[in-house]
Amino acid sequence: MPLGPFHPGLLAPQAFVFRVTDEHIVDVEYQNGVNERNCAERMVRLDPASAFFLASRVCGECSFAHAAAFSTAVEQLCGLTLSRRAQQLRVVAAELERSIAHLRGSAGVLEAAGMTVRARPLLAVRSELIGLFERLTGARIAADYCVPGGLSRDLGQLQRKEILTGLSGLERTLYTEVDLLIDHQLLLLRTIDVGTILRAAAEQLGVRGPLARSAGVARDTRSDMPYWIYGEYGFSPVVQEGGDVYARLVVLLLEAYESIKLAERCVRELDDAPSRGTFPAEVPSGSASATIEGPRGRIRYAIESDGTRLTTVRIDTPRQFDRLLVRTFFSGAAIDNAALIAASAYPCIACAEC
Amino acid sequence: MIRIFRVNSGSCGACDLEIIATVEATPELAWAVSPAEADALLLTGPITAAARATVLGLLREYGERIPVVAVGRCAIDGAPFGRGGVAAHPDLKIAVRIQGCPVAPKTIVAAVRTALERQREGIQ
Repeated sequence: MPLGPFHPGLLAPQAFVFRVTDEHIVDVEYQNGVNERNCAERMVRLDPASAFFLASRVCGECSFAHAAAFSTAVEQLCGLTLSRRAQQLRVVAAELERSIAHLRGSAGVLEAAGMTVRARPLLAVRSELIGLFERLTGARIAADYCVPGGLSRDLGQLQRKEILTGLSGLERTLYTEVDLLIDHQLLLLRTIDVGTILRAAAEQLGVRGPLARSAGVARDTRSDMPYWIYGEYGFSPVVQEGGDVYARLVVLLLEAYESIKLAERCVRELDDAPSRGTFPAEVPSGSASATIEGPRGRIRYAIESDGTRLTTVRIDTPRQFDRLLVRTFFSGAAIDNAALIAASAYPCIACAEC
Repeated sequence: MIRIFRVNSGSCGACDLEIIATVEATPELAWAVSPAEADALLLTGPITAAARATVLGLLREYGERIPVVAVGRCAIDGAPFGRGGVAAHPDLKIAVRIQGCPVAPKTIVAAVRTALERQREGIQ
């Protein structure tokens, strides 16, 4: 039974071939690699500013995280420091991006579980968040907001107030929705012990981000290696032990909620120092690397420069599916649950195959 | 009701998200389950090497009958991922090209309408 490579339910091209016996999946074949664009190889042939433009377009849903990781690496190389305000604004953008992505992920799980009515309020919150994100960054998908040394635009007083009011309203709405969902009987029946990945498997297969945290792996760059303002604000990751579809959904929902709270705190306590940055005219020779917690987990950029152009760029991104992982997720599951499990792994192919 | 089918040929996903947002916000648009049932095909991504055979096969099979809209800069000429997109395949029939990286959602509806109009004029 094939699924993909082009399917309305899949954001990016990927194909599954399920072998089914008695309505249960006995084996699954995963075909990927369609998205391979060799971005890192191409960046070496470009001047640093164009490479940066490309880095911010590696992935649409995580574009701020990619731009921020590349910026941080360039900042290290050039010895630039970030003002407190710039750090806070970056956290706001990163957390809003995470929340927007996670809400799409959790709405996808609910839709796959046949709970479209419950998914709608989450999508409404998401669409409001995109509006606030646009006020902050100037675009619905902010590929050009983060630049080395700061941000490409500042936040005005009026927008700041609008964002603050918007966020506190959305925080309450989302809290009510999560509260309704977390012990929803139908949802529990449909998602507990479905598509389980054990903690040992998650660790061995190198799973990262919310997918790992839902299997009991308490790893989050924001708390393990705090950057920007995260260290000062103190951050503890959301962790669930179940490793099943339910645990994954709960992690996505709670992280989306925590992200809104964190973003709100940053906007409320926003510093007055300038936050604007521009791409430096020259990138000195040397090497640097930066690690950021993107929506799907740790994203690492390692760059080397010879003074005029980048000689090496390595992009390390999280991956939700590969041949082994799909077997772990799907083997033994009822075929009716295939779409649900696929949605709960919440794959980002553009990141995985950059 | 206009049914659209999205073909992602290796994009970053930004234009795909904007297409999804447009379909959610526009009652006139709906998803087609397969390309054969679609009124318009929306192509995103630079047509990567791995996607070439499948995507070109699909567009050549349906492209004559169903208008194709190239959504976003990389679907048009591959930038910033290098040469590619529909510019590398001049034999493909493309009804409308939407510029933008990523495209603005409101331009998508207008482009789909234009593509359908052009198709109708072409038939007459």
